[in-house]
Amino acid sequence: MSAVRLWWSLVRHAHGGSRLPAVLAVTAFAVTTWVVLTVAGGVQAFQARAELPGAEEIYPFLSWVAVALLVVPTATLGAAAARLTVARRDVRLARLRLAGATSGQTTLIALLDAGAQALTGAVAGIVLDLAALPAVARLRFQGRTFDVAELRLGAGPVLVAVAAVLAVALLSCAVSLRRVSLTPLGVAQRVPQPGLSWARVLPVLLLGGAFVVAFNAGSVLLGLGTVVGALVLVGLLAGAFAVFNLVGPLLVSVLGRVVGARARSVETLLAGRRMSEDPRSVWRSVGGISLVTFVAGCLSVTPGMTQGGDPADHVLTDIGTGAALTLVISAVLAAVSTGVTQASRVLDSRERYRTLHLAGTDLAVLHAARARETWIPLVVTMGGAGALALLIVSPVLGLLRTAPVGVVWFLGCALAGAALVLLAARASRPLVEACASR
Amino acid sequence: MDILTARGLVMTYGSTRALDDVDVTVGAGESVAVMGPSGSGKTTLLHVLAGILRPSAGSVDLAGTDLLALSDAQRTRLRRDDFGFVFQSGQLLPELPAEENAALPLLLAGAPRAAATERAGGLLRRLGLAGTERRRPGELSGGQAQRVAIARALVGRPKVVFADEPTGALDQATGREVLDLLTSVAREHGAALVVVTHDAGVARWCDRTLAMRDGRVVSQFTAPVGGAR
Repeated sequence: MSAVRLWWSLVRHAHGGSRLPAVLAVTAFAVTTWVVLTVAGGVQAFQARAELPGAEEIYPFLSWVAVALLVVPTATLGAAAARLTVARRDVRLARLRLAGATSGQTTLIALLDAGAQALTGAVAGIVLDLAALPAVARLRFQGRTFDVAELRLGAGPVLVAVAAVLAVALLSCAVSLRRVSLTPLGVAQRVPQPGLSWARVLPVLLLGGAFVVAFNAGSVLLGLGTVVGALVLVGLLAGAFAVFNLVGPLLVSVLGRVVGARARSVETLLAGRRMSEDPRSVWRSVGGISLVTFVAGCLSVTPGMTQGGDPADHVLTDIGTGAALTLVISAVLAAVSTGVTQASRVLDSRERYRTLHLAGTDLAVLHAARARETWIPLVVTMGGAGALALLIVSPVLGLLRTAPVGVVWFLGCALAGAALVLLAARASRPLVEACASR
Repeated sequence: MDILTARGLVMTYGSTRALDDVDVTVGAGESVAVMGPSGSGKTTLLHVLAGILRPSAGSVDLAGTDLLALSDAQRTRLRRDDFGFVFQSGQLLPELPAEENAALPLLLAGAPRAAATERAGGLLRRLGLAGTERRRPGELSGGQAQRVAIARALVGRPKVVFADEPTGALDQATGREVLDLLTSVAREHGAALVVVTHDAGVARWCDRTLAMRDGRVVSQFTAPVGGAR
């Protein structure tokens, strides 16, 4: 109980200047909750529409595909926000340890911090969701817009969503705390992260095997009914995304080594070394949006397919709209994620920024290095994913000979998304300047 | 010949006088220890001498250049090119191996990478760190990390090296070893050295010691030739 009282007193006496990270963390939790509620509202609406007579059954399935696509970037953002709460706290928690707080008490204080911010963010997310519903309802699917009532979730699902956001926050906070070992001497030591193993490639082979089995057993699966078939497909997709996230950091690490070895400027050298030193955190900024870029790229041909076809056949148009929408949502998630990740990194490195600045390092160099560690992997992974997707669908594009509406739409969304992520990376500049000249 | 001359330095924070009419000269290649209790103004003096802080009054002259007449950007460049810094801790970039950390000032000044890392590697070996060039700070002991910081401070052939409690985070034996290396390698490179410390033992490694109290230099003494080293 004393830890709870201590935490409350620390919260009440927080200085104005130390509130920026808290504001960022709460914003990130709010965006996470908002996305979860909006997507869940969409799934609910499509499911309800599918139960109407004569409705296409494919929509609930497609909405679940969008959910599978957005799970990783959403969870990533929640986790990044929780890490930010720890980054800001480690020195203070170490001092508490020195003053006699037990490891359990400091852990409890950190968890209360993350939990309180997640809860505040979740409440803000609910308000945001209610405020944005009329705008979301104007999206056209199945030839008509939504009723706000179709998209509004009941109290039960909202509570489940809030609980999920809280769970991600607390879990990530606990994992982050493990990386900061707070010794009784009051030293907050960064425990070096274990390196990446090539064993991460193994699940790719397993998943490849699963796909082969699923394709060969296609007829059997169809015999089991559409629900089971759809579940297997969504499961395989989710598996593919999970594997993508396992292999991604390895790619970033290799890319970092190549960039570091060939760097001619100190900014590129720093960016390359940073990528190979902590590929997981770099991947968090670019992974989600790259994955969605690939899927949206593959689906970009669908609006074109309807041209000249039956105007009533809106499924393909809707797939294109859904893909663009998923890309936009994942871009927003990636941008907030990047902003939060960069902010917590700046806070983690505040002492180094200060000493580098004192020793005559231009802040412009530090800014440029941070920008490069975002845009180099972003261009490579997102650009690579987009180009690969377009390569895959290029035969279809050629066959259609229709104006590549979907592709232009896709490229526009992708470029806007990338620009948003880069802008978010810039957002922590004032924080660097504050840390350097402290 | 004096390389650094400060006259009539006054630094006030509200009603507190952190520096109260301080005169300091540092000769080329000379090592000066600045000692005193906490709050005596020694770190403020180091920051003013290094052009990090602008004093409320007084002047700082580096080999004929008036530091206070320079713009912020010019002083940043001067700190990079003419000064070296060793802090208590927290100055090495965790993602860079030792030789790139040490080469950083040269890289920042636009030197070719191969030449910069080669020069840094030579300094690391001189400081007893042969074989650790590719290790990152997380894989080095506290004493080794401070020696990398010393290599970084000297790699650009600075005129003056400023060290703020460079042994504060080390045990006594390692601290002495590091100080011995800092003073001798700075001397070999012809760099003057200004060390802020509250450790009386540090003075034995320096040519001259300034004792500060309440923002004033209250006494100074010169080590006997050969000193207690």
